[in-house]
Amino acid sequence: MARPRQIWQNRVESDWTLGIIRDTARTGIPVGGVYNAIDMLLYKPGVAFKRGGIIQGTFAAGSGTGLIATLYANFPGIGGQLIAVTGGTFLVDELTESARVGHGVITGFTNIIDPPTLFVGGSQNVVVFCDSTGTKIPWFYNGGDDVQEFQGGNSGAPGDYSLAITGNPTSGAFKLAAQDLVSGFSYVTAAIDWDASFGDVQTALEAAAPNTFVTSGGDLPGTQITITVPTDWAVSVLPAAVSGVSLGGGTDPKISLGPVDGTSTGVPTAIHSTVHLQRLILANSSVYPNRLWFGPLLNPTGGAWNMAESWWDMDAAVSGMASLSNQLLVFSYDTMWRIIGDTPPPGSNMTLEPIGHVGCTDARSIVLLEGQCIFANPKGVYVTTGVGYESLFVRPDGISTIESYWQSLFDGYDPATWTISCGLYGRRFLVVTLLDADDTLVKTFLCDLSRRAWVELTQPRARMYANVFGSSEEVYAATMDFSYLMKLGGIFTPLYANRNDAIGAFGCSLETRPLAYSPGLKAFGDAHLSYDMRATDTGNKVMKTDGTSGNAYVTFDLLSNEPEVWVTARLRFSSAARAFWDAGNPPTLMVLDAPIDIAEIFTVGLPGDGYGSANDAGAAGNVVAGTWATVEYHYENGVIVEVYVDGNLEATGSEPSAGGYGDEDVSSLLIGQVQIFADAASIVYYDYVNMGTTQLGTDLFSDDFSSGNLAAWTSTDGDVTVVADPF
Amino acid sequence: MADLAVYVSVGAESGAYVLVPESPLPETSAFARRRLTVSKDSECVSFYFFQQFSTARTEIYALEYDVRPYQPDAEGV
Repeated sequence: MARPRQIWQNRVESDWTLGIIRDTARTGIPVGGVYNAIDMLLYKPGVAFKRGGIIQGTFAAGSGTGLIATLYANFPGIGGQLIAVTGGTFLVDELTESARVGHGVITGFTNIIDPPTLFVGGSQNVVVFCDSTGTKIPWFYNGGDDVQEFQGGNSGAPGDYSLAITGNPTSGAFKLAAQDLVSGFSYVTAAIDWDASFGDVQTALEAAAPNTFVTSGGDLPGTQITITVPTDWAVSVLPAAVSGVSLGGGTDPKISLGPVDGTSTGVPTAIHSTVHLQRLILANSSVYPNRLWFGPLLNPTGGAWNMAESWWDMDAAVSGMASLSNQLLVFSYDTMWRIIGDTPPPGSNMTLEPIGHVGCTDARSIVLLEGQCIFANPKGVYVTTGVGYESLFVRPDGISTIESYWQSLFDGYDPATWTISCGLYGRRFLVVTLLDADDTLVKTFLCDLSRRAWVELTQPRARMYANVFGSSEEVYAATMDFSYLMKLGGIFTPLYANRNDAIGAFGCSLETRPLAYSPGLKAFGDAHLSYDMRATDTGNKVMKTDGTSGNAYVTFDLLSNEPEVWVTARLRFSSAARAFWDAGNPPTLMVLDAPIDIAEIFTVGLPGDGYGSANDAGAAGNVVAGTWATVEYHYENGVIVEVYVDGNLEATGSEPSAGGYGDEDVSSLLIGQVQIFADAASIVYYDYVNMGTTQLGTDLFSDDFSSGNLAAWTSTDGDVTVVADPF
Repeated sequence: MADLAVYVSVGAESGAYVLVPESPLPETSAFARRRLTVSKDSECVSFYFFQQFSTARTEIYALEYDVRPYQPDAEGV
């Protein structure tokens, strides 16, 4: 009897969200995994897509060999600054998209292998830079002045300290800070001349802190002056950026204060820095590689570092530090500890506890994410909350992903010369770059932290990343390829405009797992690939409203009146438009209309002038010119009126009450420029307009303008067109 | 010129990929579904997609494939 013929089975592979799986035989790769994916992003269920380009993110820094360090520093009272340090020349530059502001040069450094630390506290808001050798005093930048050395030094324990000047100055002055170690208060002296006598120094100290210090010796600058420091007091030399005065003439004149035997600078010559409990922590000098020092409270540049007593020795050389909410994480190459307590030595209540025998071999891999610390070594990439740790190569369901692949990349690894750097984007994506001793890119990986799923990227060749959090999240890379920072955010939104990396064109590849693997021979017939691949413009369309001659808007009439609606739209305008509107010519950019009185029941006016007129909150909003912003309305008849910009609540309606403007159900939506003052600059682009009865809803209306026309709308008024996205 | 090369390999450990006859797949102006001739006998197949040049968009939505078990006697059972 003939056996029935086996029939064709049609199967589909359409989910790759587990990313690359290498810790198993190919046949063991589970559904959702792939063998390899290079420059293909897999985090969206149902689609694998080629990433967008990694492009120039800032203006170029000054001359040097690439960039070796970067940090986003949000200075209180000043604002966020992207700071970069050039390779070889150690220029400290503040970079924006269109400009470079030089902030001096760090001299004497060999390399920077620890991410700069932003210290914010009291009057001390500074970025701290450490040299890689452990033999140099750190430098700092205060958000405006030139970068400068933690020069001067200070006293530690009570005793005699020597005040000396080098570099043969011929003018200028300096200041000292007398610190009461019991109360924490500092008392700054008046300016002391470059050629002051010991009596002059005594007078200055006496005026700042009476009956405290005693001086002896001769006249500066030729002769050192001895300062006798009593119990519970300290004295330090204030850096010029803090004191406002400096020495002049001569050759790089400096003033120093240290033990009379000259064995200490008074400031640790550390490789690593962090901030914990409002103190700057420095660690790993060439003499004491296993030591970390606790700086003075709130005042790292002007306060006295108690070098003699305020330190902690670990069991191994410190390779990195991170501050979590109530604990200081300290790493060596193979161990991780936590220090708990809030009073550093002397008289400390701190305790040292081991977390695990897994370490961090490169401080540039350390990033913080919502109470967790991510770090890396040749064995893996890990995350800890300070209690235990987990490998990011092991998914929560127990599937191991690329641990063996990662470990295979470290042939010849030397933590002193290789680089492992990490960056974070959108609190979800971790980028990890491995460079060898020649700064050759070994691999860059991207991890979707929500799934612990990994893919490979061909760029960037990053030495360090700067993570920007807030309203516009971004991650910038300091690379050896360019003198500007590159930004990675565009990889998630591929467009024609960013089809290339800054370094050139790139392709992509995807290698599947063995499909239909099971025992037994099978016949494979045809396959079908569903794809969309476009070399040129992706066809992304937007609506352009041109207010050169007057109103320019579209209207959609709802089928029924709605008591509650959410409207979401992306919009963008130029700084020229913003300037025109700010000059007293405000437009209305969106309108909800009611059926009875045709006046608008809610409007969004221009940023900076409040959202609309008397019928809404009037709170100042902030849509930044030159960037796309997502604006959301929420209107509920007689209940609430709200406006969100990029997820932040910007305004709340003031009259959503009976009889007021808010006492109507919504009958139509107007998008564009309504009741405007005509001007050539008044051009606004819109995209992804949605209207629903719930937040982000589309049940009432939706148009992304991909149709190329405005047929979805009820009517148009003025110069309104659908155009290719010009951005 | 954008195109997408498509390779197929048989066997559990793959490695030796060969181009399918329809490769390379051309660029599209919209979503497209294209046939790929596999015609292999094996316990499994792997696919390798490779694009060399830059594109404004490359999205892969689904890979469908037809498979049919052999009769046990085809393997001597």
